[in-house]
Amino acid sequence: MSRFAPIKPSKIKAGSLESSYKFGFHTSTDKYAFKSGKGLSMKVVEDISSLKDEPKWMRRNRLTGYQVFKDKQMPEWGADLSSIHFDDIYYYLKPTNKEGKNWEDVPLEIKKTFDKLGIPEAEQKTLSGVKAQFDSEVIYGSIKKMLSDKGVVFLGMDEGLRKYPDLVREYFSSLIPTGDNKFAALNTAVWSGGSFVYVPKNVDVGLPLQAYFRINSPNAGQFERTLIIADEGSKVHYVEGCTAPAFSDGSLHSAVVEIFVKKGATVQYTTVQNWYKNVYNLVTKRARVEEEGRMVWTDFNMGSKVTMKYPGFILAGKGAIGETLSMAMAGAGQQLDTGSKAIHLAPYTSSTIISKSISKGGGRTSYRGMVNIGPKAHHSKSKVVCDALILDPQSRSDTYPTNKIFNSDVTLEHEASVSRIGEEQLFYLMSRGISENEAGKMIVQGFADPLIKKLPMEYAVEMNRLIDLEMTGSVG
Amino acid sequence: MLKIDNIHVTVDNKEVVKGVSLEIRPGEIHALMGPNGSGKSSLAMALMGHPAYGVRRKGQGPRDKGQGQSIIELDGVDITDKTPDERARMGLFLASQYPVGVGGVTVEQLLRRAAQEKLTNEQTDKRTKKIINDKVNKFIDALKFRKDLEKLAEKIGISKELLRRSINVGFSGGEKKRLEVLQMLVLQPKYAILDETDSGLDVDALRTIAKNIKTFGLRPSAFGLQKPGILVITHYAKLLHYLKPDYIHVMKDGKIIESGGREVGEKVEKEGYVSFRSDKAI
Repeated sequence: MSRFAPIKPSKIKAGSLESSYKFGFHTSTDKYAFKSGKGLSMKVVEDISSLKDEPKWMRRNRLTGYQVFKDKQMPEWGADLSSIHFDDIYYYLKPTNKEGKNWEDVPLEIKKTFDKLGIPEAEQKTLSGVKAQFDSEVIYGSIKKMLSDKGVVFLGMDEGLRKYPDLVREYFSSLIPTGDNKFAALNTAVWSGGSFVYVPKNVDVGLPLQAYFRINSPNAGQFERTLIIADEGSKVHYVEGCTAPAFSDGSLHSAVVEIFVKKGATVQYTTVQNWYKNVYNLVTKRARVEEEGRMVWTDFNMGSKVTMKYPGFILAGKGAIGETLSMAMAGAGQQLDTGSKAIHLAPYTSSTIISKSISKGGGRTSYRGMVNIGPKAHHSKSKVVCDALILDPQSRSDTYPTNKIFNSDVTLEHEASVSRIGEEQLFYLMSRGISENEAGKMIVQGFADPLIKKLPMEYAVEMNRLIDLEMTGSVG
Repeated sequence: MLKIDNIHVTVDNKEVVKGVSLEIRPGEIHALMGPNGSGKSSLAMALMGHPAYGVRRKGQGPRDKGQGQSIIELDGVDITDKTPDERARMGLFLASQYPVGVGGVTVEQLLRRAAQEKLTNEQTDKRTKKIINDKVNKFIDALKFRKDLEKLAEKIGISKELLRRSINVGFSGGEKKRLEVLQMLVLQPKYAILDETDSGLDVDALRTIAKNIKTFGLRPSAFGLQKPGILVITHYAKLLHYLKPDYIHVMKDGKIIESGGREVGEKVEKEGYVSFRSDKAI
């Protein structure tokens, strides 16, 4: 891209990467109640299970997960994962021994961290409940009375397992089996924290359920496990926002999310994440949608060193609907490999996948998606739209779509566009008096806008702010 | 005064404007006519500071930034090396011949942001800042801004609905041109260059647009104390009937070969550009 102004020497100071990351603070974590040794072994897995005093089946489940994780090869079809050193990772950290029942019980150290993240503000009356995860354990949580009155369960996964063992046993790993992939197996072996949500029949939760996740220790893997069951005719919007502080060593985040959307139910799962740029973010998310049910994944990916994430849905009942709206932004040294999987098993099902990506400063984004329409899924529709915006010649974007269609009576659409941020667009906005930097931001925000509109208000604001931060000084 | 002193413009190492000088005083309307490829639009782009249009004097190599005599001056300030946004904030405006689409950015957003930047930016001199402060404070108030914008838009035949759409995305040729004029009316520049704003307009639209340009030229700008100076680039004499410019210049092969009053326009209308000879540059 040519310049609109004389090139000035850049003013990058040593360590400016660290200081430019707003959430790059680090709270001392010497106060962990329990810290497993580095690396993974059968003993570590057993220790985790014992500490949590889990039922036998979960312990067996973990050990199977460990075995599968050891046996499976690293996936080689996507991003480069060769610099993950599994032996350098702490698989379990427990900051305090018990969950905080209210704000006063939360240790000061952790409170400070939350303060910096603005969590107390987030816990305003407009929010129906805040679950904040500090490393591996849910240490603070609250649910509005209204939710309990409706019979809605919103707990940390560990607590969910203690209180609803049968429900958890019925659904856990039933959608994403232990052997699904290496990282799902790893999560099964060492999972800790995450959310357990149950929405009873015909209950509309109304306000979004929110969860914050944070990684706060060097080499701390975070392996949360989330299970959401939306019973017939119910409706819920679950929101997770992720930020991680700055560390030089690689961190691994490998979550598993399973969602069951029963007949006529609607679930929206929104992720707004901004991992620090050394985190490997390898997440498996899947939903099973029954008759006339609807699943919406809204997935915003910023930050991380490598992200591989393809939220999927199995449209198992007649007329089921699945939608994925995903946005990824990759800067220098980052690779964001995202997309979605749509599996149509029943007739009259429909899927929509809209993916937008922005790459800049040598960053790389990929859309990787699969649409599978089975033999029984007649009269089904699928639409895939992927748009990539590339800000400079050093950056890259690729598209890897796969369609497997086993029924001729279906409609399939695929649109893909790649655009480079145009000098003409910049000039046009600048000729109205808008600086080059602002003009670049406006173009990027305009590009992302159709997806950002789908977010709850406070997240839309946050997302725009993140883009703003990412874009500062990057055009030209 | 917008003063252009012997400007040479190169695109892809090809000289397309070969020494043009012009002086546009506040309150004047100048028309620049000429056949396709005569360098009119290149001149406009260079004046606005498009980086693909290299500006230099005859016999000089590429200008070192900030060196040498000024080629383009706006009210006595050398703007030859200013970026497009700096020029715009100083009061220069270009109605683009081919307005560019920007997805997800609405007309309203663009103009509000432009107004905000103008207010907060250092390039705006103190006097102007004081004048616009009151206006702009109102201006920046979202609801007031929207109301004023809608009123202006209605005057030039733009629907409210268009203001909320992504700028120039899927707009008709006529809508784009009207929108350029609307932007001029909102931003109230000291000097406006209108590059073929009349092309692609139907008869009625042309009349409305011309009327608005004329009215704009008669009143002191909201962002300054002087009347705006206007440079209209056109192929057709039609627009000139409405605008009645003070000066008409004919450009051919990168040079202005004739300047004068109404009679020049009449000559173009009667005889076309063939009768103007490019070797008698003035």
